[in-house]
Amino acid sequence: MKQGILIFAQNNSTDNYVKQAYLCAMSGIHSGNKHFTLVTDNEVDEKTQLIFDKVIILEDDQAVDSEWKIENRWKAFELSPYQETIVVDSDVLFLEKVDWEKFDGQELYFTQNPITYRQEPINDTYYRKVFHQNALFNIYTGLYYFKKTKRVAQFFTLLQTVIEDWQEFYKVFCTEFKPKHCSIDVCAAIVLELMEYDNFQEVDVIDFVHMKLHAQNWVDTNERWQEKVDWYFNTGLKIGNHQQHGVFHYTEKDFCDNILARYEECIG
Amino acid sequence: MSKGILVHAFNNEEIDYVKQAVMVAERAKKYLNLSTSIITDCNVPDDGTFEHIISLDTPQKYTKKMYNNGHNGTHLTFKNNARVLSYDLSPYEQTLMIDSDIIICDDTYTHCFTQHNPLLMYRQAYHLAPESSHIDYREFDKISDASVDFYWATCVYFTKCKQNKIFFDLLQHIEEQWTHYRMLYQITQQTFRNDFAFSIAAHIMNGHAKGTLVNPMPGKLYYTIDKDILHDIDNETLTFIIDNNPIKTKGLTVHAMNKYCLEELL
Repeated sequence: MKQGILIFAQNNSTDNYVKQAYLCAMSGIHSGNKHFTLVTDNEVDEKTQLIFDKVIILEDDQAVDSEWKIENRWKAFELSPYQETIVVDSDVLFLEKVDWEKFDGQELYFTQNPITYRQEPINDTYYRKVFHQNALFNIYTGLYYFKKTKRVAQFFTLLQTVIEDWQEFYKVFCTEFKPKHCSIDVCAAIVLELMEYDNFQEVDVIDFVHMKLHAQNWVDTNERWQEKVDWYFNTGLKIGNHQQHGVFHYTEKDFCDNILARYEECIG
Repeated sequence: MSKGILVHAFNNEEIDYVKQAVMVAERAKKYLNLSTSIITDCNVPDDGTFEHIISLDTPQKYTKKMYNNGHNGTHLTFKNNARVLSYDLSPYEQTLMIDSDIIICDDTYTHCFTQHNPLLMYRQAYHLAPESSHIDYREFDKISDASVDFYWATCVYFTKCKQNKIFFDLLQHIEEQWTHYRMLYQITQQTFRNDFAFSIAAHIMNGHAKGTLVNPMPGKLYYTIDKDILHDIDNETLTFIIDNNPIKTKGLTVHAMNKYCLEELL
C-alpha cells in the first residue's frame, strides 16, 4: 500500500492507548482516510482488528518496563507497511481527509507549528523549555510524515541509538535544561541536529490542533481544557464554538471515552 | 451611491445622547464632508443638523450599565439593542455607524467610502495612555477568555448587500436570543453588548472560524475609558486627564467614553 497512518499504542498501568488508537482510526475513516496500522504489544479485540489494515504485535518489545512506552518508536520505518507514512500519537482525531499531495517533495516532515483550537499559534513555552533553552528543533512527533528513502532510514537508525542511550545524548545536547525522562520529541530533535536537518516551515502543511492546557493562550487556566471550554459535535467537532480541522490532539484521556460511542455509531 | 454617518441616540436619566449626536453630525460635516442621520426615540428638531431623523420606539429591552464620572459610578438605563436594526433603518447605501461619543478630529473615516470591502470593523483599540490606566488589552482580544475574537461595534462600516443583510439579520437573532448566545459563548456578564453580538455574528458567518468576512477599519481606534477625564475640546485638539496626567491630542479621532465630561463640554 502506498500511503497510510501508523499508530503506536501500548497500554500502561493507567491508560488504554489501544482504545485511543481505535478511536483515532475510526475518526480517520469517518473523514475519508482509508489506511491505518496499529503497532502494539498484545492481541486486540475483533472490532479493533477490523478497523486497521494491519495490527502488528511487537516481537521484541523494548518498552516492557517503561511507563511512557516510547522505546519502540524508532521501529516505525521497518514496521510501516506503507511507502509514505504519517505517524501520530494515539490520542488524536482525524477530522478531515489527509491531502497526501501536500507532502510532495518531502521525505521527512515534522509538525513544527501546532495551533490552538482557535487556529492561533500555540504558546508552548510552558512545556517546551528543553527545546527553547537548548536551541533544539522544536518539532512534534505527535504528527510526522516520512517516505521510505535511504536518508530517512538513517534517521530511524540514529533515533534508535539516541533512544537507547538517551542520557548520554542529553548530556551533550541538553546542557541548559535536562529532562529527567526520555522524550521521543527530544530524541528526534537531537537526531535532526545530528543530520543537519533544515526543513523548517512557518506554517505546517497539515493543521495540528494541540489541546495541551497551558498552550491555549488563555489568561486563566483550569485543571483541564474540558472544564475551561465547551465542546460539541455539529457538522464536525466544535471547541468553544470553533470549527476544528485537520488533526486534533485532544491530550485528555477521558475525552476518548466521551466521544467513542458516537464514532462507533457513525461508523456502524 | 448614497453615503453617510449613522448615529443611535437614546437618552436616559442622565445622559443626553442626542446632544452627542449633534456633535458627531457637526464634526462629520466639518472633517469628513458627510451628512449624518440619527436613530432615536427622542423628539429631535428638524433644523438641518441631521439629514434624516429616524424615529424608533424605545427599544424593547433595557439593561443597566455603570458609568463613571472620574471614579464615581452610577447605574443608569442603557438602551443599546437597536443597533442590530441599523441595516434596515439606514437611509444610505454606504453607512458608517459610529457611537455618539466619538469625537471626530480628522478625515480617516473617509477612506471607508473609497475601498471595496462591504463590512469594516476594528479588531483592536488603543487607549491613549495604556500604562497609566493599567489597561489589559487581553480583555479586548476575545469576547471571553476561551471564546472568539473581539470586534468593536463602536465603528461599523457597511454597505447594502446580501451578505450584510444576512449579517444584520443574524445580529437581530443573537440579540433576541441573547441569553442562549451569552451562555454558548461563555460570556459572564448578563448585559447585552453590541461588541459581543457583532463578534459572535462575525465568527458564525466566518464558518465558526477565523475568516475574512470583516475587514479592518482605516487607521486605529483610540479611546479613553469612562474613568478618564475629558478636559477640553478645541476643534481638533482634545485634552484629557488620565491618572492625573494631562494628555493632549491633535487631529486624532478619539472614542471618549466618559459621557459626563463630554456632555459638560458640549
